[in-house]
Amino acid sequence: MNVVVGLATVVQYAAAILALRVLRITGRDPTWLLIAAVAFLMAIRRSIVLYRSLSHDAAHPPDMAGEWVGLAISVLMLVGVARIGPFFLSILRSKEELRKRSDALAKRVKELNCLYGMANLVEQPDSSLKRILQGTVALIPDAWPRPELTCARIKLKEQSYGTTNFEETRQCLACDIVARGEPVGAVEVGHLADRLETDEGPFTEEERKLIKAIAGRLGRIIERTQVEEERAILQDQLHQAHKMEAVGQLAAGVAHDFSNLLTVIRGHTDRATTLLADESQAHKELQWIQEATHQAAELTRGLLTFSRKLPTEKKPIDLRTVVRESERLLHRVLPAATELEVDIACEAPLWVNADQTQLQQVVLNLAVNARDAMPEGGTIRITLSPASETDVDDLPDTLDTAGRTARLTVADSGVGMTPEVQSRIFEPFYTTKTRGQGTGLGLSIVHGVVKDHGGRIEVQSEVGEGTTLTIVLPCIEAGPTPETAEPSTIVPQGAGELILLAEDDSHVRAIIASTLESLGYEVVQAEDGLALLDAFEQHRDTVRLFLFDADLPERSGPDCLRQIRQEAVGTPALMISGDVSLDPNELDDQTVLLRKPFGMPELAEAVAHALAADRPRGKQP
Amino acid sequence: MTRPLVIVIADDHAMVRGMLKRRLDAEPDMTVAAAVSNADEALTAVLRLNPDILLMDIEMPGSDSFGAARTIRERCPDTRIIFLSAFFHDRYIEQALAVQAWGYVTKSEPEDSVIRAIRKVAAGLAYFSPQIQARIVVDSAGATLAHPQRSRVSTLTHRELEVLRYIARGMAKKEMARTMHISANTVNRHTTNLMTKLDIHDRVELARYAIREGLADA
Repeated sequence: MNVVVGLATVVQYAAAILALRVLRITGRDPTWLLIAAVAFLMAIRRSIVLYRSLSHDAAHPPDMAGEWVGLAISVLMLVGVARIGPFFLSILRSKEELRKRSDALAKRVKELNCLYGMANLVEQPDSSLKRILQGTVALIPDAWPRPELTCARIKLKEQSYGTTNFEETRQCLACDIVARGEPVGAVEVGHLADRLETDEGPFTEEERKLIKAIAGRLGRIIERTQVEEERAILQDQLHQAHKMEAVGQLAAGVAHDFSNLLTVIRGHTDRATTLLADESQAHKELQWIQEATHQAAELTRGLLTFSRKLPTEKKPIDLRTVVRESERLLHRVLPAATELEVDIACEAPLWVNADQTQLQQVVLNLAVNARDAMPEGGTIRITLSPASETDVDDLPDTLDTAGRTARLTVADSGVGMTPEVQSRIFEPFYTTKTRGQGTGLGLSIVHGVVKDHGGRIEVQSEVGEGTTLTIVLPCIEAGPTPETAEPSTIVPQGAGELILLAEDDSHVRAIIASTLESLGYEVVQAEDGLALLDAFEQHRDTVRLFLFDADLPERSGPDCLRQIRQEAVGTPALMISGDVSLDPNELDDQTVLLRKPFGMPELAEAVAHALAADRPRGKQP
Repeated sequence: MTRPLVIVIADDHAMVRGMLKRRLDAEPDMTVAAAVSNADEALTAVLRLNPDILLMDIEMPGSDSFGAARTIRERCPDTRIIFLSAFFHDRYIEQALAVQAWGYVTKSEPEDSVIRAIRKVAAGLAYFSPQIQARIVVDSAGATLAHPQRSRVSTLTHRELEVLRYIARGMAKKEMARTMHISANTVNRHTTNLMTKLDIHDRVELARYAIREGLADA
């Protein structure tokens, strides 16, 4: 009997202890509290029954059947607790796991909401970088576990965008924003209260990842914004450049039409002038119109020259001419408040191998920049001088120069430039002028032209002191060769001497004849040998020189000469021939061979020489 | 009394044309038989009227004035051509001499210059400004301008010129090779050569250059 009660007591206690253990694990779950309480009460009851049984209490005789039932109940309770307890626990653990996962998911959703919100900000049609940054700052706190205690700030260069309470931050997490490989700012997230320090510090790994993701995304947004801004600027400038090119073409077209209109105005004015008496007032008025027309024509000519789109053709030019031509054009584009001083400090020509139009463009560009640097007016000083030896040393060795250089400076008394601006002025599309005022191409073109001419350009400038741009160009030894010389005229040297000219090509004959007439000679033309002989018959007393082609139709030049020599023995003759086999020694003493090709200056010299040789002998019929 | 000089005027500007006509008609020894506005009309008028003098503007829309002048020289050799231009330009003068023009007058010269030029040309003399006259060279082929400015285009071979024109039209190398019946490598060689000669190393720039030089239409 005692054994049964003792066993029931032990089993009951075991059930109660197990129930207590489950109760502890479940966090004092009420169900298990009840089960544990019942189990303990039953265990106490079993203990009392065991005590009575052991002390043989006669007042409470043992109930053998009841004790067996009690043992069965205790066993059942133990088994029940042992089986149901773990099952219950697994349910509880699943719930806990679910809750944790749910929390983590909620965090991820908040983070993703933040990133999605940023993406939405970028997609807004009116999204400027400023709006994106402000919007991001507002989104960040909601992505953190305690939004009410979280604040954020984004710093970008000199700008800072933050939530209002950022300064009160006690703990802060920061990440650099990097755009195009350069740190451009930072994202900061702060917490207004101290957070629980964990192994990872006050901020979790996830939070660090999130701030990194935000910073990375902002970096890409900034990069894209910068690229878009640059593209917009470039497009704007390209558009401006195209517009200026079109304006240039338009100017050329207008100049051409103006030229024609001026021709008409001048024509009628000239005609009207001849119809009026010299002393009349109307005559004077017309002369003023003529003067104005002349000036307008000069201006139009300059425009035409400047806007002509011709390929680069370098030839020896005198830099002084470039400066003088530029000065002439500049006087018309400079405002009255701007004074132009031109100092050409050399009397001898400064020959450079260059394209005159391009160099003129260089001077005009520099002067126009100088003008723009002096909105209130001032002085532009253009100086041209032979350069010092040190200037030569800096030029490329390969240049075929005479070791001399020319120095051209354009100085202004304007606003000057900062070192940063100075370092960029030759970059294409870089401009400090307001939109629509400049393409940013002027100085880059100047730089290109100077480089192309083997020279170099330097800038000296101080803010408020003005700017001086110096161009050093290599000079060439000699002046222009005949092939590139500026047109010159042939000095008249004739005194009405009669020349018989025979040439079968009427065009060539006309050109030679007109040249000789302009030199002061009188010319009788013949188109073939017979005509030459006829002309000789008519002018035998007055003719001073025979000028004829060797290869004349009807009678050849030498044939004609033989006949002429029978009568006019001593009259000088010039025989024109392109036949290289012709031996000048076969000609008589008074005949000189003029070989083709020959220029008009050579012709003039040959004629003058032949006549001078004849002069001592006097006129010989 | 001698027959007055018969003159045809060709200028696209109606006012210039009208003024010249009035001015020349006022001269007792001159009569303007026609005043036209382009080179094609000038050619027609000259063939019909066989004038002594054709006074022709260089810069006119439509057909090329020099082309018309060449035809006139062949088909109507008695008509002497005087060119009018807004300004002196070596290329114009070279071409004028090449088509055996008898004179070259700029519009900036006094109006009397035209009359003087016509009289001189009618008298068998040429009329060029003293500056141009000093640069004229006579050789076996006729009169040319002394050492004219050589365009870089003149340094190109016939084939290179052809390639340049095709580049300006935006043709691909293979397309050029097919059109010219040569290999793509040969096209490459021509392209490299012409780039070196012109010192232009960009196809877009080449196209622009060709358009500027009048080798291709813009």
